Amino acid sequence: MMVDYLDQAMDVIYGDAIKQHLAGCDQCRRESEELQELLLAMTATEMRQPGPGLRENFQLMLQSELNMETTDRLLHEGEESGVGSGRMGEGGPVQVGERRRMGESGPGQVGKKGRMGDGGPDGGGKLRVLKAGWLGWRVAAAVVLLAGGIGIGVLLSSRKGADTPDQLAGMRKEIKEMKQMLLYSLIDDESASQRIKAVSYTEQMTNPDQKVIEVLVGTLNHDKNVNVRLAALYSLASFADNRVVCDSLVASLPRQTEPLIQVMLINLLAAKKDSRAIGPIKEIISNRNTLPAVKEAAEQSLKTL
Amino acid sequence: MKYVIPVLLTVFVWKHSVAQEFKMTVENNKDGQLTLEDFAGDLPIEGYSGNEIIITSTSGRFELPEKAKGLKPIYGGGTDNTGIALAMEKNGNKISFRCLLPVTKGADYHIKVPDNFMLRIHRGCEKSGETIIQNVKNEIDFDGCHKVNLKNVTGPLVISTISGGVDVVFSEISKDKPISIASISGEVDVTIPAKAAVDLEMSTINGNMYSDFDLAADSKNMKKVGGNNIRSQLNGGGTDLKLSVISGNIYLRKG
Repeated sequence: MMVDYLDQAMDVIYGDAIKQHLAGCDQCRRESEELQELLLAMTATEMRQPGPGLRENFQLMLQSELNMETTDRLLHEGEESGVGSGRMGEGGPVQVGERRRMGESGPGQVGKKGRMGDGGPDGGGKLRVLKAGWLGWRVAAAVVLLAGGIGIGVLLSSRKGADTPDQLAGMRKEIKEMKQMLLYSLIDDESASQRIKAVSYTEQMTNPDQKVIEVLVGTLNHDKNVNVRLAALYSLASFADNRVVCDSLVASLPRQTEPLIQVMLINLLAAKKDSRAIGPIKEIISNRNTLPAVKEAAEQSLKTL
Repeated sequence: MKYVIPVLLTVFVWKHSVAQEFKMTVENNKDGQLTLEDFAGDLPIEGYSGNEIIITSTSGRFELPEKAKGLKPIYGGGTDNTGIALAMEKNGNKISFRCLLPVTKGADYHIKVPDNFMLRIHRGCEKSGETIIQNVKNEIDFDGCHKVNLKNVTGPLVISTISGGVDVVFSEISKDKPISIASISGEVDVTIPAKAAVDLEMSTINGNMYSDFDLAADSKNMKKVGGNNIRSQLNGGGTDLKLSVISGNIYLRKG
């Protein structure tokens, strides 16, 4: 409430009442001043740019939230239409927010004004009329929202089970986060098998974020065990359509000295038809230390490229 | 005739005195770890239920010549603190041995290790010889160049080799941790219990794959990812079992 007051986003009547109270109460004034300071400090701090992951997460969250709301509405639909405008009069915060937008509603709702006006708080005679008018809009907003809710509800029930994919999406997101945590915590384990397990957690991720890719590329380039590096390569291969991943794979090729990784990487880049790999592949062929099997694979890949 | 037995006994005892040995007492538990580096020649390693690491050399290489009496052998690669050309390091229950002999020389080492120990073995391409491991119940990490032969093991296994084949016979498949076997030009021949629950993935670039497991019956779980790459679940799926070969065949057998 105080935040609204300080932001001057509050109804004038309430605002005035608070102003009067603050004038008389020292403690409240101090608190309000502190709050103001905090708010100023908050606006002064630089806005942080949200990462790309945030948008995805937010959309997922929004989707599941919307879904929950519509399901809720669907459940209460019968109840609500029975109780009628009585319940609507309660006008939750959503309706209040909508009020201004609904300002231009048609005259149809005016009829309800008198009845709903009785429920409003007592002000001066003039205020009461004003308040009643607002309540009318509130009712209008509620009617429209309810109609919308029912609409969505009907839509939902006509497509039975349409909500499960969203719930699944939420669950998948949770699983993804869990897998990421496991990846980060196990990737430095002493046991090579454990590290392979860590890498395998990324296998079924559909859209790995930047940090996951960094960890995998780091493993591909630096892990001391070949099989772990190989597992990281397999995992990265499934994300090879991602530009960042593809760049890292091309950059990784000249670093690799292990024949197994060289062959797998060459084959992968050839399949992707990434012409940037031609240079490093030619280098591998001309290197005296390269195994015959690797040379063979490299020459084969040059034909495809 | 009555001299024959004493003579044979003498020969037998003499033969044994040639075998030189290094022993150390450890705790036989899953925290134990034995690291072996740069061993040349065939290397048999055997797990057993005791609590000593025993390394034997039957080559007779470490008999001191007459003129070296009172002197110690010196090796280029480090200090021999075992008497059999191995540099031993101990860190709690983690023991490592590095072989100090020149590249071309082996010493017919035979190693007995507590069966709960984890094994990590690194053998470069210059060190020829087969690695033969049996009766080990913990993880085996092998990074080498030549033939590997494992019997009566449970995994987890992390094996990579270049030109040698990999033969593995599992007594059972340990749960949870993955098994990964990779080879460039050797054949991979793996026998697992018929009832083992595994998530199988096999790939070979230039070779073929053979199995008596009914992989086709799991067709709804089977996925071909281009080339010679097969994913399948055996007995409902479980431990990850990944076999990758560049130019050799893969054999997967029912045990």
